[in-house]
Amino acid sequence: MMAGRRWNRRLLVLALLIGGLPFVTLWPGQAFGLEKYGRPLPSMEEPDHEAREEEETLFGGYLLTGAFVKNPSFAARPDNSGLVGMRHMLHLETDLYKQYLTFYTDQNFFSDRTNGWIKLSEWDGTFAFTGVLDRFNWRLQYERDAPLDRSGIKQAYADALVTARFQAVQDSTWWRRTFPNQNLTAYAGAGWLFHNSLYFARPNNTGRALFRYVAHADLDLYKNKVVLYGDMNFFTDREASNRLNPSELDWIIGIAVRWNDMEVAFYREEDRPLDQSGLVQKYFAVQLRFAFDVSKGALERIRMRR
Amino acid sequence: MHPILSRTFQGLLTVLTAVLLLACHSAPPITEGYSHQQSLQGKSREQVLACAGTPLREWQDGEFTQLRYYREAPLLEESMVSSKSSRPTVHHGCWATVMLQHNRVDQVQYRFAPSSVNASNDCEEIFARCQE
Repeated sequence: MMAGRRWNRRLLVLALLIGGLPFVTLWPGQAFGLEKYGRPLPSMEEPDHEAREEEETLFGGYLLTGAFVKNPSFAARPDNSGLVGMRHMLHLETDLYKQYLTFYTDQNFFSDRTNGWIKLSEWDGTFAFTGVLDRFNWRLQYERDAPLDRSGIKQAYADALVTARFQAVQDSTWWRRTFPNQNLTAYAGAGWLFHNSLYFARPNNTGRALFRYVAHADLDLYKNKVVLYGDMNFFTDREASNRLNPSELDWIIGIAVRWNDMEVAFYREEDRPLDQSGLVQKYFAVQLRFAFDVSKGALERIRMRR
Repeated sequence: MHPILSRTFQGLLTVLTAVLLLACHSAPPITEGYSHQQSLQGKSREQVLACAGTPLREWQDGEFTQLRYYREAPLLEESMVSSKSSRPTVHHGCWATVMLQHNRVDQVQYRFAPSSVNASNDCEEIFARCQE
């Protein structure tokens, strides 16, 4: 009981810390000359400072296709029926205002290996705005998960997420001295599902998610061409007595090999309940990603030819 | 909660707090001392163009020449795939300015965009073929 209260206090302090830090760190900058977007004006001596215009992407994205090579329990529909066989995803994104405001969408499809592997069984659509403020990332996202080959429950939510970033090569002299050719990039943060329509708080489809805590790390093993990565995502349950206590942990560990605009990754994911026993969904998968982009410069060149 | 999972969660909280604290400590970007950056010293303009390609801009003023390059980080580095969607990271890139005097590289400057993201690997990639 006492331990539980201590946990609550720690989580509350942490939540306040996460929520308040961006404002604390941004406060001093607001006293000086700002442009209308709230960012300091670029230095006149460095006209290119912060600018990415020269090769700025007009829109970009990637196609993803993956096979769940071993899947004892990862469900192929939001109602937890079937088992995923294949995954296909289209990711599209565009910068609306430099790095401060980006829009992206993911259209993710699963097939059911118990129903022939090919026919699609689930469609997860995501629409989001995201941006960067110094070392902090923010995101506003809407996600809707729906069955495709039969009627059934649909899960949807909208959330706000703030993460803080750490780069070992820049932030740690020890790291840079010890591993001059490797970088470790990590981010961690917390989010609030302010809208929830049947988005569950556990893999066995119980509870309703309220908060999420995330952490991610990329370890660059070779020139950003071989990357070991890990990801953790906790959900809490708005129906539980303690709404800050995590009810589900989803973790991923994988290795990715990149070559030009392609990536092959092998990874494992496990989604498990934390506050009670129940269904654990897990799998091993191989996935390919093919990136593409259309730069503003390329569009200009097409116009010039006309 | 299971004790092992409880410890895992406590570990995550520690990592999260550490990342937040480190993120608040805004160190200036480290833009010098990279291997390809240093290896360009003394090369001629023609050698730089041969290994790094045509620059986006070139200025000449008497004995001084400046070549400016830019590389945007690949999208696959900037978007992480999760269970049913993706999670974005920062769009970033790196400007490299090669300064020559009497047709020999005198200095190579890197500048990250945005400055809070170390994009040295992108500038280093511009000159990856210059060490061969």
